[in-house]
Amino acid sequence: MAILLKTVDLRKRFGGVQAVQGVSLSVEERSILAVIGPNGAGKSTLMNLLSGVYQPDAGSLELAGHRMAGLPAHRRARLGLARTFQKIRLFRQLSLLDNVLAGAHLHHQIPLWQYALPAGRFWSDWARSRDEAMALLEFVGLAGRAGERAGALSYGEQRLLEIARALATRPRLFMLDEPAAGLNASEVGFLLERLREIRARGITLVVVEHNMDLVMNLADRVFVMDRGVPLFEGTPAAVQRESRVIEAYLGVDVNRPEVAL
Amino acid sequence: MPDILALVLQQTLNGVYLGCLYVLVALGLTLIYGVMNQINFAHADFVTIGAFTAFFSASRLATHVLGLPDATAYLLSIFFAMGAGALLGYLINAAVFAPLRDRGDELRPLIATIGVSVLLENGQLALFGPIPYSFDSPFTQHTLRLGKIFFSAQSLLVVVVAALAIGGLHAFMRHTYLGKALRAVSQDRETAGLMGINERYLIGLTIVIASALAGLAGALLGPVIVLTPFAGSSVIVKAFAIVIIGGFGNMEGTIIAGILVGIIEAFTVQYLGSGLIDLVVFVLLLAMLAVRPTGLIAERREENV
Amino acid sequence: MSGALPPLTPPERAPSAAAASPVAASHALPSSEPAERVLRPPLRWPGYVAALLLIALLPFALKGAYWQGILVVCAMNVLLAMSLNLVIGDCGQLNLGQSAFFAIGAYVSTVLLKSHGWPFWWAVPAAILAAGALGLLLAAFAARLRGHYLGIASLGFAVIVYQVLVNWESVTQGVRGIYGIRPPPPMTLGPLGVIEFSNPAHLFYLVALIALLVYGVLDNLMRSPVGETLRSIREDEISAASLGVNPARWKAFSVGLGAAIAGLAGCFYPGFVGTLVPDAFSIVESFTMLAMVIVGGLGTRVGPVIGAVVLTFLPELLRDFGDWRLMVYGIALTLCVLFMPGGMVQAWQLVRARWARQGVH
Repeated sequence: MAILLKTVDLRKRFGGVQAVQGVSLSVEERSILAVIGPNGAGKSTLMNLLSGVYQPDAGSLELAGHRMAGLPAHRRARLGLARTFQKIRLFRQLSLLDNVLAGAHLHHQIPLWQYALPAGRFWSDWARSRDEAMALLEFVGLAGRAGERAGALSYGEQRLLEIARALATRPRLFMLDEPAAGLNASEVGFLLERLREIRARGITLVVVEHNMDLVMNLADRVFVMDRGVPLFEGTPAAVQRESRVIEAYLGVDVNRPEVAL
Repeated sequence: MPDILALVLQQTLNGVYLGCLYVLVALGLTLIYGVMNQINFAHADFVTIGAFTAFFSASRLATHVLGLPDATAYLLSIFFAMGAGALLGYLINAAVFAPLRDRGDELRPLIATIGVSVLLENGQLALFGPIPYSFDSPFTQHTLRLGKIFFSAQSLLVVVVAALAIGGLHAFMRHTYLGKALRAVSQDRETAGLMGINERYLIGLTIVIASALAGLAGALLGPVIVLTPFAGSSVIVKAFAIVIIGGFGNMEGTIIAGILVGIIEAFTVQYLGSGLIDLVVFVLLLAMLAVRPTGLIAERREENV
Repeated sequence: MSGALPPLTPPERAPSAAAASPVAASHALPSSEPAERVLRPPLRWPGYVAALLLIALLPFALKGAYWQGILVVCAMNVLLAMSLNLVIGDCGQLNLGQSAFFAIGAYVSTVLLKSHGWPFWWAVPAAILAAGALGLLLAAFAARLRGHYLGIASLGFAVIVYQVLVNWESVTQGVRGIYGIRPPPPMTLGPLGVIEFSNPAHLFYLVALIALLVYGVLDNLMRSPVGETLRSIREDEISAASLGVNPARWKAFSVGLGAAIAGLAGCFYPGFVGTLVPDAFSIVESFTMLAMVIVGGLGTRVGPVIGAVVLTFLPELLRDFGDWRLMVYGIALTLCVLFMPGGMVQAWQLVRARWARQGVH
């Protein structure tokens, strides 16, 4: 299968700390890559480098053959990259629907004058983007609360809304930063099922996650980081056998999946 | 000493003296910003009220009622002005900042302080009228001479008092438990709260200290500026510029920036004319912000995503 | 390449039944809207018809040149409050220097009119463009500065504009001011006859209709994807960028458009007052505009309009207080922020929600 995301030797330094170095990734189209590692391993920094919140100090970065290094975040989103955030960053004062609509705006083709004086294309896009947004809210089980403010949702619901909002940009590559953090077991089950469904729709996933249960059940490949450097990459089964990974987690038994690291 | 060197030295001294006045005003703003990320627009009026308090306590109370000599009366009036400032600080915290604090919103307290500012300004206007008061410090008349450089006893007093106040504040922040707690709160509010530091009390205390500094600045500025109910507003915009140049919440930065602005102002007066002071200061401010968006002295911080 | 996900079967159980957090409700609108309502475009023309009627009737209700003059000021303030709301309320950029753009509109139009002999209606677009261009300059700072840093930078921006007006005497006449500025030239409007803008009632009609037009454009804009984009920047810039929004471009759009609208308002001010001095555009004016926006309701559509009306008429209604008038104004402003943090629009919604609840029980 074709490679969708390719990085070569990414590096990022903050002050005296080498947060990420030597990260080379190849993610196949329609696959799910999980990125794991202990706290401070540089997983979130890697996410921010990929999505354009930070720019790498060195290294190359390609999405479907488009060079991304140096591009700001919004340009990368236009290339088909979407993400969620570890610390949830919803538009808290806006309704659920408006949150998702903000992601859908990328695909409008409304003539300029119609923004000030709505007519034809404006209304057809208006209706279409609302339908799409409602479908996405339905997809994450929040359609019935479309008019409520995002800030009023529970933690788990906010994570799901962030997923719906990112999907509204119609991404090719969807990156999730700890989507299961703070979720209870049944919520994690629902999340797992939705993520599989998203992949089934042809979207490639990169998931940073601490919840080993989710990682082992979901991922095609697992990328392990420790202190900013890649430690190991392989199938979930191979990762579980790999002694270096277990050592990195300081003796925590990865065969007991319910332990959130 | 060649004339040009004497002139440069003279203007630098004038600038340091002006800068000390600005620092006293700006320090209050930056202290408040440090502990609660808020701007107090009424700070300008605290300065004005400090000046009026000093004026009335020196000219009426101390000389007439207590029968003190002029110099002692003026020195005493400085303390009255600080007291007035502290009281205003206490009141604005109780009335505005404390009730709005938990709303986590930067705009509304700002507007509320603008309302307080309108209230104080027009209250003073109704009480004192728009005609400038002549507030003569007994120290203004004494001129000291050092070679070719001249300065008034008032400017020496200003520098000394400002140095004492800044030094005292610094010592308080470094060496007392309360001061350390204050610094902890301004560095990391959540953690400070977890450590059992009573944030509410400390924020109140900071505002009182900051406002007392404004009162002090008013007492020192009174004899220098045109004393009307709007006197403070002319100083406050420059104080804002200073706070930004020094980096919001950064005390050392504010002190350096304040003296820098004072010196720039002194040289602007000398070479370009006094009408261009604000223009020069703010053009430089915007030029600096274009290059360093978080201030000249503040360190760059990466946003934590 | 995938399309949007089509509607899927709803999940068997909701992912979480946790109650809405009470903390988040502090700014909350009182009730959530049902999904059907957010999916249907609201009916708006009755509101516009009512506004037109109100504008037509107001000069008959408030007779006399003085009160009709207040009406003109009020219409200008409505324009200014809307222009600032676009920047602070919708896009979340703390702008404390909006008076600068009002000043540019006033001075550019007047100088073109008086010194270069331009016709009024040519000077207006030039003034709008000049204010908008200056707005883009401020927007260049907004692209890099956050929160209070932008606030003070915009304040400094206004101080600079004010100082230029004071010091550039060959063009602006400095503090001496420009005198004898005439109102817009009379217009002949078919059956309505000649509209004389020296008559404050007629000038009010002109400015109020322009304000209504601007309101309509902004109303549509803010309901369109443009509004969604600006609000997403206000709420969280990094998130917005992750969705493909270019924050710098849209901040420039809102600051620039806001500046242009303030410049438009500025075109009518000198002809109404007859003189032009820099002091009419001190930073205090920016604060007044901000107060209108906050008192009415930040980020709402009608809020700034209501705020502008209330804060224009409040000092007039307080005339009995004499010298203490503006002091009472200050107290009213402070109390308003303390007890109606969401402005009058939200306060009204809360009252209405309470009535609705009492009706149910």
